[in-house]
Amino acid sequence: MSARIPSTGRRPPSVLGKRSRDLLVFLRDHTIVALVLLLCIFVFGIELIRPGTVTPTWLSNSLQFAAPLGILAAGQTLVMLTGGIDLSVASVATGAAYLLTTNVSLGGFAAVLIALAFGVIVGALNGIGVALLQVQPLVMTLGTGLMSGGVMIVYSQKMLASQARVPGFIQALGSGKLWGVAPLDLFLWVPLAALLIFGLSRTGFGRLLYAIGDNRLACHLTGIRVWRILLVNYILCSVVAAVGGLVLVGSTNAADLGLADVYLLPSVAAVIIGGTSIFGGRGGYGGSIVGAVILTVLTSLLTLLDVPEPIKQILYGAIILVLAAAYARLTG
Amino acid sequence: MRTSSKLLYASLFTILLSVAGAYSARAADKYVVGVSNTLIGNGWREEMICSIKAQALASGVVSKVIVANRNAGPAEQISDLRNLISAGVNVIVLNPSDREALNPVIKQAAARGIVVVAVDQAVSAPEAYVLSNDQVDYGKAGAEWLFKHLNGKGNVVEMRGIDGVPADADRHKGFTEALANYPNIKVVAMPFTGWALNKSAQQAKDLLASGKQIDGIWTSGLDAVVVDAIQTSGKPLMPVIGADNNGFVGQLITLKDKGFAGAAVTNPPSVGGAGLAVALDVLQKKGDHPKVIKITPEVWDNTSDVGLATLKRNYDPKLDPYYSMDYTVAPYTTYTKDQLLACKGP
Amino acid sequence: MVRNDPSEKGATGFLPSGGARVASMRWAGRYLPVIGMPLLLAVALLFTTWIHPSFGAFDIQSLALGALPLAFAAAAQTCVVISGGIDLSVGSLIAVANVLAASTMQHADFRQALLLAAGILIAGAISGAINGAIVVLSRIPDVVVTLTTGFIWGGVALLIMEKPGGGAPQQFLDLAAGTTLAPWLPNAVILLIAAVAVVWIPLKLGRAGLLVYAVGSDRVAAFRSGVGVETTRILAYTLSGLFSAMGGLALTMTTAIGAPLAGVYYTLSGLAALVIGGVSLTGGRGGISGPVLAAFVLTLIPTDLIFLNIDPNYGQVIQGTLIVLVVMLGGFVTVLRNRK
Repeated sequence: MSARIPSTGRRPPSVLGKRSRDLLVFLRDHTIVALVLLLCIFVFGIELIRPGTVTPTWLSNSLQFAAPLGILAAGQTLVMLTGGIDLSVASVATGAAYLLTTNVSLGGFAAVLIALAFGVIVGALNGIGVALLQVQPLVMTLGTGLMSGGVMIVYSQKMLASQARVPGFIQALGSGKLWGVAPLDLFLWVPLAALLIFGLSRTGFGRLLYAIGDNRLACHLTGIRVWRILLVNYILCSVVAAVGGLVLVGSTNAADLGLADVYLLPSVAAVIIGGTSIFGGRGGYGGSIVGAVILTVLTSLLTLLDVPEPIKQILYGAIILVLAAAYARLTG
Repeated sequence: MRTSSKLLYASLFTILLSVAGAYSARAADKYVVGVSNTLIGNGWREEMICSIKAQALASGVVSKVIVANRNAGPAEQISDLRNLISAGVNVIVLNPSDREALNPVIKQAAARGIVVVAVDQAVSAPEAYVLSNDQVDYGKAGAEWLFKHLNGKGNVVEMRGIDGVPADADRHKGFTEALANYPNIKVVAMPFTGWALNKSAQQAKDLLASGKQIDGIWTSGLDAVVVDAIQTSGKPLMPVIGADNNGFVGQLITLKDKGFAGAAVTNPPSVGGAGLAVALDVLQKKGDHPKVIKITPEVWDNTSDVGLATLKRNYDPKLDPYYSMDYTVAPYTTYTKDQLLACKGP
Repeated sequence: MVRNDPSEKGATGFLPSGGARVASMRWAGRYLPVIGMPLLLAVALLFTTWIHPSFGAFDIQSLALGALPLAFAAAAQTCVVISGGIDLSVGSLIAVANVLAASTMQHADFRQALLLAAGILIAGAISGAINGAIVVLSRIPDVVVTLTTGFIWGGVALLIMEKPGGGAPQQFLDLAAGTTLAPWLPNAVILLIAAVAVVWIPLKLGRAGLLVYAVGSDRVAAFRSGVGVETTRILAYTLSGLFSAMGGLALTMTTAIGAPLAGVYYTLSGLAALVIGGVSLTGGRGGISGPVLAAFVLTLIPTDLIFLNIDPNYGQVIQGTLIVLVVMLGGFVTVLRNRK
């Protein structure tokens, strides 16, 4: 990505009173608060439109639906922190799900391994291109996304008469609830999130990701093996995407070639709204989590509005733009 | 881009295709069959293609089957049909994505002596043969059963396919005709599933979680996934109309004791093979066929003894849940069940 | 475009040494970028004729009709990428233009259809300008903006036409059909060359083109030299919208219907054509002929696969693999050069 034109100062306009300016500065420095506030506004909006919708069941359903997106956004966050992007996450997720359901005959555990291995392979390919050969992440992941999508299509032709099933434990993971209340996929998502947040802020690897995103050349000059870190990072992203695909297929109980396609734009949007800059070096997974939940709630909100499907699509896109623009303005 | 890499890439491209070219078959004196399908990853469509291949093999007069099979709309299908014409096929079996849009290409194909058969859905081109399930009847028969089972009163959901394709329009027509006889039945939702499993599952889940009162669900063939959604939602098992897909048939049998009532309306994908058989007859000038051949669907329900017996007879737990149990279309198809499952052409 | 930029020449490892090397490098640098892509297309066509000897006028026409919208998509993408950005909404704009044309022209006569076409071109340019304005004013990265506006325009297309349908007067359709000048030169190709040249040549020869390249190659330097960076970027997006509208009209001409979901293919494939056509994604370099010719090569792939009786779904695998191989090769060469 080319350099930005230097922008003028970061202070909020003086036309606002001191209290508002302080509030804006507070929100900017603690963007998570702003995001959670926004989430509450949306939930409140849902309650207004159809009173009685926001119940504990609805909340647990929403979190359950948000998990696959949240997991995909996790991988996307890792990659965006280094100034890249991964447009192949949807294909990887779909591919992993498809591989899982068609290899169940080898045993559930082996099928999961095969699905994750797919993520490793695609991630490695991405990593080699971006890290070693310095290809632009956008194009590289675009190509690998098309490749993996195409491979899956061809593979699907060969697999038809055999039995494609979702193993019981995956189904439970994706659509089950503990005691009918706590979604089981949260038991995967929450530890993953904790691991990621801890890893990004406390480990050397995490700090290096920020460093590379901030100034790759400086990292290189200080002797850091940038290529190794990026390679591992892209592999991590794709493996996480594969996990997301498994959770997704658990919730739909059927693998489809377009399974995760609708999650590509939201995975990028969730990360951007959550505060990670696409140029790298800034942000974190916490924001992406809230971003993912916001987008899921937004989808429910639009469903409740009972407007024709195209209008929903337009509104969804427009709101994402507004949120991203507001975020860009807020942080300068 | 570096020029040397451009040349490298040019040779790569040529080598790639040359290697592939080594595998292309050359045969004469027999017919070449072209197939055009526009929905992939869908068990029904794949079985349709398998039935075409099996019939090609069983007929003994086909040298090769060229399949253009990709997710496509009418614009892309026109392109695929043109490519098939260029490839020199004698027969085109297609599952049309639009009733009218393909007419110009079909006309061009017919002008070259190619026999064109549209299966599963109808086209309006006068040159083409049409062999399909009576889709209007499909919609009507299933809906009638459902409304009668609900004693003429209740809220139903109509889960449709892809907006604009002939089969969806026809089924909706049949559904609406049945609806006219039952004024106390209300349609509370009419989502388009796109005949995609995950979309269908998501829509079913959303509807069940929405709090609307739903008494029955009519589906356009994506049935097992809806029943799964009902089960995971924790709601009582309401009646569901589906197609003769293996998974749904299994559910009708096994969940009957839990109070699940439903019916499978037949929609054989083997219309593909049947269409090919008709086309080959026309090519070889053997026998007369009407331009439009419609197959009447049957209703296999699990609430009557006859229906339940048919369901049990046709169920095969070893096959894919969306594999249709209606293997043959008599008297047209001549292949065996094993040939169909092997899915190999000549 | 010819430049004496040493980076335009091939990797040094492939050429002879000494004075001969300099001379041949200069020759290569001057001519190969120009003939590289046409050479590739010629190779592809030769190969197609080899595997299918009856490749004739009908087939060339099929190729041209199939490649026409993609060529416009590639042209649209080129305008934006040269200015240093990217446009992931090209396909959706093509779909909007397509359904708009097919729905309004359905009961029109030829003259009205032409007027409507002109209107749609203007609408396309305006949509592109809106894209550009959002990118420039909101300070959101162009990837995110165009990914989202692509989604929005897709919704607009569905709003105009919820399922495939519509039509256009036969004379309008005939504009792209058939061959008038020579049996091997379809009208579609003439239309393509004319439409692209009318927009691109004045741009390239004039100051606006220079500004677009400047902004693409070094935005900060351009800013400091007094170039109106923001207006130039909006101009690039406007051109993209214009070419996308042309692509949509071409789609209407070649398929005779409007399809709201037809655009999905063109965004990514347009980008593929761009990459294969030799335009660098960092901006500031490349011409329009490469991507347009690459569009023809890409369209030839499914055709060849059908002739070879290979599953045409391999086409997507091949397309993705091509992108990956091309960019990896390019990156490999860059790394090699930087290493010495």
